[in-house]
Amino acid sequence: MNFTNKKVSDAVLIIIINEERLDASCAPPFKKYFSEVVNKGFSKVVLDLSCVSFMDSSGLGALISCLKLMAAQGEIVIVGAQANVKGLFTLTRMDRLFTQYENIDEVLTAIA
Amino acid sequence: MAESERMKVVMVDDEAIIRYQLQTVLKDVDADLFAFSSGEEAYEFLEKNNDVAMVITDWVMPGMDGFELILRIKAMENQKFTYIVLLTNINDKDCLAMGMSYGADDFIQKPIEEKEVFARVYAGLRMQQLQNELRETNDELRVALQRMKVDLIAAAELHKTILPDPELNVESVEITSLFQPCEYIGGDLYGYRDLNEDLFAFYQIDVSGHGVPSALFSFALGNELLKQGNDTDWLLEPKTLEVREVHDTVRSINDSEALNNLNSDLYFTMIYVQLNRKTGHVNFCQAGHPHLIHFKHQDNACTIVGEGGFPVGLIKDADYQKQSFQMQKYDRIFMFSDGLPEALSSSDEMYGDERLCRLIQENSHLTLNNLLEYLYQTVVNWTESKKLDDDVTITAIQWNGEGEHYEFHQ
Repeated sequence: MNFTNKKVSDAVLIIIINEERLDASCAPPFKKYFSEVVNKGFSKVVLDLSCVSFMDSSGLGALISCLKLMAAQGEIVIVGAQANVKGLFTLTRMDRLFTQYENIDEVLTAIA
Repeated sequence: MAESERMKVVMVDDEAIIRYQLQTVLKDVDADLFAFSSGEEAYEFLEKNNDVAMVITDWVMPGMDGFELILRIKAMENQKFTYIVLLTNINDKDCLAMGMSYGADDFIQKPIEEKEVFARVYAGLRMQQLQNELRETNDELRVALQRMKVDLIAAAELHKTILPDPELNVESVEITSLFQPCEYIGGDLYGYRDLNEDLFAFYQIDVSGHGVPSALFSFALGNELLKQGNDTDWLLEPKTLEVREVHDTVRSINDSEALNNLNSDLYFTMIYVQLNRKTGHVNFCQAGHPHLIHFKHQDNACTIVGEGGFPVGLIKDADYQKQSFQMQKYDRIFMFSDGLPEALSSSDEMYGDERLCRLIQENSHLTLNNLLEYLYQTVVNWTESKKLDDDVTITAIQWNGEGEHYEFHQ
């Protein structure tokens, strides 16, 4: 599974999902990856979903697990969600739990 | 073949000297050697012995020659995996090609070169040994897989016992469900029942993921939903047994001990609908499940209904809403799990709600049962595969007006 991350500051980490599908086969490794990389005290994780064209219920479940994992230490924001993913977020009201941004610049401006 | 059994090697040559040479060279190979002077004799032996690992045969022989023997061996059910080495004294590429096309696996040139023969036979037997081991492992896997399939089919049958009949035609209301797990067993669930004289309730549930874990979860959930008229009935208020509002039911499931006790990463989307059979009024709660489609008989038009909502079992103390609309006589409601609108074409385009609406409008003359079959098949055709790769449930409800019974066309 192809996930990468970029450290912006001691508090902010960008995680990029370089997968077209965040589904049942991709969700467990993603959860594992997430818990490993954020276990270093980041208070804000920017999740770059711009490669993801399809997310299913397992993928959504993984995002919520990550959110619960972060709950104590900070928040997750989403960047670059495609139309299908946005639709799923609206249908399941996840848009109320994750702030969404169009691109990384927008996030970094908002954080700064 | 058991490990303790030695492999058998059959040698066929009409010349005694060649047979002698082969036996001498191969005396140290870990196999039992059987030498024959004609194709006929060798063939007879092969018919009776299933465990021959290798046949080394001359090409030119009186009577049955090497090629004919190979052809016959290839036709024998018990020699499917026999390794065949052709002896040839002609350095002829056509002969090699012909031998290969008949099914020979290797060639030894005459006059025999001792080291070469030994090396080729040794390598051939080692390959046979490895293939035997692979075949044994494969057989074990096949048996295990078969056993699992039988178990899954039995489990799927059991899972169906918590689902109501797929067709129901009661006063004012006609309902049909189509239920199609993508594997043997899946996480979809649906149900319906009368809550009181006026209210008819139905729900559809899609547990995240698919396969056995989702199915076990939905089975546990389905059993909870079947509990009626006591304190654990999610559809009624405890004690008073008054009908619970749709969003209160979904909220009480989300907050329930039963769900939290499942202690699972799984969650589900749900749509829960109450239809007043006297007035055609509909209340529903949408919990992450795809939108409803409301087909209006009079206009022959569809409306997509629903504003979305949190799935169940994902967020503690989540807030749920009631939504409402009014049905007219012969109107229909369609609800479906996401496997249907999210079905992908070969170019990764989703089928989508709009196309479903169009299908429902264009085929409104069909009975509910035929219409659901048609919807499902049309979406399967869209994907250009034999079935969809997610569990699919579709439920359709028609309201026939107060006190009306549906009349079967057909």
